[in-house]
Amino acid sequence: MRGLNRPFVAAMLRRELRASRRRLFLYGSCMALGVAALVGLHGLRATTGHAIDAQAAKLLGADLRLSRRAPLTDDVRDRLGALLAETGGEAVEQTHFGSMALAPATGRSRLVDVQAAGAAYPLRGAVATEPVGAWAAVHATDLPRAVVDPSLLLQLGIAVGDGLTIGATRFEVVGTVAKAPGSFGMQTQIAPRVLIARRAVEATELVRPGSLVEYLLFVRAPDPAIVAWIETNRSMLENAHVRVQTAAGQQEDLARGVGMMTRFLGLVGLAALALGGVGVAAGVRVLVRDKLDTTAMLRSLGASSRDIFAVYGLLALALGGLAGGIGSLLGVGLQWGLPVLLAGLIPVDVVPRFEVTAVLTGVALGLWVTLLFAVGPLIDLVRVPPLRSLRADFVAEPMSVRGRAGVFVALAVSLVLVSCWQAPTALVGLGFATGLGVVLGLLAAAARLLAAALRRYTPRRSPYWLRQGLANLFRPRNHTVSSVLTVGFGLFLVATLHGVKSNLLHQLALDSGPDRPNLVLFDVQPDQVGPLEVFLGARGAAILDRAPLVSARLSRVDDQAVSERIAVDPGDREARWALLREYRLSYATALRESESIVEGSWWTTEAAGHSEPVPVSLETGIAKALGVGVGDAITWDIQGVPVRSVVASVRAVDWGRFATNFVALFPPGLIEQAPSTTVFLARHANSDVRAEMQRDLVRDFPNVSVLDASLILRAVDTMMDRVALAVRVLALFALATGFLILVAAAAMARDERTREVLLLRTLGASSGVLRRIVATEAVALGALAALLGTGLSVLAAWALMRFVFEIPFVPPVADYALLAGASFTISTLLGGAVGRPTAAGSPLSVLRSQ
Amino acid sequence: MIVARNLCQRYPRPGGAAPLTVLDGIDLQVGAGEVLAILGPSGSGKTTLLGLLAGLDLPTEGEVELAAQPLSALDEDGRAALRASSVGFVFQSFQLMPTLTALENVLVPLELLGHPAGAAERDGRAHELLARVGLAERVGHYPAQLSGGEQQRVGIARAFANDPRVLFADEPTGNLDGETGQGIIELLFMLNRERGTTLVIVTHDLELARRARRILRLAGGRVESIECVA
Repeated sequence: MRGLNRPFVAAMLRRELRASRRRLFLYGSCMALGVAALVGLHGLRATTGHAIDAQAAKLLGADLRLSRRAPLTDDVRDRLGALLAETGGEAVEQTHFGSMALAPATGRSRLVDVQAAGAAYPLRGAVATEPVGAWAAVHATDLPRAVVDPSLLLQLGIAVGDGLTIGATRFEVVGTVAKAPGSFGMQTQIAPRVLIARRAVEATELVRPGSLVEYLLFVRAPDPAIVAWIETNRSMLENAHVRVQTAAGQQEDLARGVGMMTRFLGLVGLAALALGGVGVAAGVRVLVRDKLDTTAMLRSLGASSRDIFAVYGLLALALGGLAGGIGSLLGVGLQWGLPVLLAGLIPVDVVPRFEVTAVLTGVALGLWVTLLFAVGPLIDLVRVPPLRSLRADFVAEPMSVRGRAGVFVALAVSLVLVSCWQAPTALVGLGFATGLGVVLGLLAAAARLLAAALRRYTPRRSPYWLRQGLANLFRPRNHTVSSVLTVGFGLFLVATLHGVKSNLLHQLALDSGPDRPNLVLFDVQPDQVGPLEVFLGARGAAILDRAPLVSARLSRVDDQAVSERIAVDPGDREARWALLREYRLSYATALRESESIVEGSWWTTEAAGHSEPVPVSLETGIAKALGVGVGDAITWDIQGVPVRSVVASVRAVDWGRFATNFVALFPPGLIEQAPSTTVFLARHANSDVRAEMQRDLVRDFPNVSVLDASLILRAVDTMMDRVALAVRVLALFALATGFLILVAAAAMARDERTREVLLLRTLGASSGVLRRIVATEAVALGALAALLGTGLSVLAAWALMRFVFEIPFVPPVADYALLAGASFTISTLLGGAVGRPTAAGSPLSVLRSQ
Repeated sequence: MIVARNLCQRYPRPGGAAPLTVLDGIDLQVGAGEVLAILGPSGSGKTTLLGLLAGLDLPTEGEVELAAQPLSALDEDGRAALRASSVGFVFQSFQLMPTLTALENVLVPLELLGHPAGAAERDGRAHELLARVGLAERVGHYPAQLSGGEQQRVGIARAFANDPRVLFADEPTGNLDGETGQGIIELLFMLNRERGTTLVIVTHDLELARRARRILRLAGGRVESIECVA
């Protein structure tokens, strides 16, 4: 077999590159935005990873953190003491709980997150305050002082220097927290932080039996010693229900979280890249069509199929490299914009930097996607028979069914592989690739169908320009499918995201409707239940639900001790957590609106006996994590008292509803005697009364915490806005890619039709007629894309609402109309402007051109 | 130089109909340096025969030897290599690459041949050929900037670039007016004489055909006659 004629390939490639500069740039830019999105996100992931590596201990505030719902046992303290003595390390304690804070100056109150720590806290990093040194000032005196999140001052209408009442103590606010270990971003919106000295906790009188308090111990010691200590004491810590978090573990958790987020966002970028691939395929197809005669001639003159494949394959690679290069540069720029876009969602300070791997990934993606989408047209080119140079009617034999199937399978497999590589999990990747394929397939099929319908139903008596403009949509060499598919898909993505977000917010608004609770009161002690009912009734608040909470842990599952079960089969993270976590049990006579039985049956009051094993109803998720079903035995440790139970039913719970939901429920009359607190769901329509009520609650029931649902709604709204904005920006990349492909298609069509335009001019067509033909085509393409993109997005949003979120779908009609209108206008203007016939060239040039 | 034995070319037709016979039992020999004209009405199989003789396609039946090489023994790349080394083409529709200048179009066969000479020598040869066809001043022009006659002259310069042993010309004046066509023919024959190339011309034009040593007349895919021109 003859080898590659390298000098010839090099010379031809150089010339083709020179001749196709404009086209390469045009097609390349179609893919550049998708590459940019992925490079930007990869870069962000890498830089965030570096930042997390560097800041993990500072974020944790220590090298090791131990936490427990009750004070740490002496055993734990003793063993920790040995570690500290051995390593010269240090430890500091923190008591952590939620409480109401009242500003006496304004009478406003607010749920806050109280973090009471010793002066040495944090052992890694620092509590940065405004003014500087305020945290030290908290510990400098015995007077009760606090530093708080700046948002709390705004919400309560007070300033540094004012008082803040928490429980029975009035603290002086001596500064605001600029940065501290622990919570970040959205968490502080619902409950802003209040940092106080640990010794001040007792005076607040807030820590009572059953209170939701977490006891933490922060440790500074060398990493290897910590790892060894945890390994040695693992079973003791598990038995004592101590949760362990190391800086390295925190690092992994945060990196995983950021990784998940950027990977999910990356899927949107991947959609833009796939669209770019479609644009490249359309572009290469046109390029190949133009090169058929040239190829036939070269073959006649002795060029081998290998030479031809090399020339145009390398040309395609140059296109991919160009797209990858431009995309990478844009992506590097995007790295600086993404942290701003994702503010509040990234737990560390990110300093964007040039990430070589991200750029290389971008270039590789550009090359691979180009090659994939170009390989079909290139094979067509290689199959051109040399005889075509003598007879233009000689065409290549169409690729065999096997060949076509091979190209299709290669494309599909590649799409799945890239999706799985990009997606957070392989399953998500597979689902995404399938969804993408289905939507693209549906759009392409619908575009073909509409073009076929136009062919059949174009009005025969309409003006020539209208018929010709519409005919351009279905006659040979049309760009209908690629233009409609790409613009339609971009619009589909943006409109679907908007539809979903709008429906979720609509549902939240419904949840805050006239029959829904808007106040949650928790940590209500048994002796406060009656007085609180009176308190709420006196102020006209309706009590909509009330549920007791009893803390408990699992001691045996299926007659096997939890510790044994873990020793035999440690299971995954979720299973271990389900076995070791603290449960909040409750009891109920009837199912709530947000619950439904999926297995077994609910008890009737009569059937609920007091003899063990008592029936228990588990939520589906926890039942799955524990690996139990109806009839399985579970023994609970309810604050030292073992209670044997049998799973009577498994319930599906809609956690999205603002209601009291529990993973484990008992019938009444079984666990009432255990120490408990009660949670109330109440409603008062007037926000002023609610504010007054919260103020009086702090006075009359200082240990009871109250959360106004409007705060949650606002926090969720803000969070969703942030996420939605980031997703929307990336979806806009896909839409912009669609428009770029439309521009490329319009430019290709204009170039291909130059001869036809000149011919029409020769035959007497005026410029007005020629413009109207182009305008008709642009309007029809814009309308088709808008119609299909919006139509499919309505279907997709409905399906997501119906099957994923399980809430009714209410189409935001006006928003859809606006989006479709905007897409139609932009695509029509772009298509019309780029595709308009050029004035250059006289009809004579037609006669000279080949 | 060219030997064709019992050449048949048939194309299948859809619906199980009998295949379309374009050429049927053609026997032919063309000696080195000979000029053969293939004459016949449209659809008589002239171009198909030219394609088979040049190895652009393989016959359904029969055998072609080109420059002592049996074409059926070569695969497509082998035939391409033979064309690159020994064959030149002049096309009716010129077949110049629109994105290449006149000079670059002429360089293509030299590059395909993997001409051992350096780039400067290859350029020199292409310049010389273009000068020979009267286009010394137009080397940097693109096909669209040249007239039909000029384009065909570039085509002729390209055809002789690899010093072919056989030159195939398919209706070389078909797209040109009489006067320009005449000039092109003169050029073609002059270069043919100078280089001793075997020339096979497909044409409708009887006057052009008469300048050949032999005229092969085709009708309905069969040889109607072979006439020696005095």
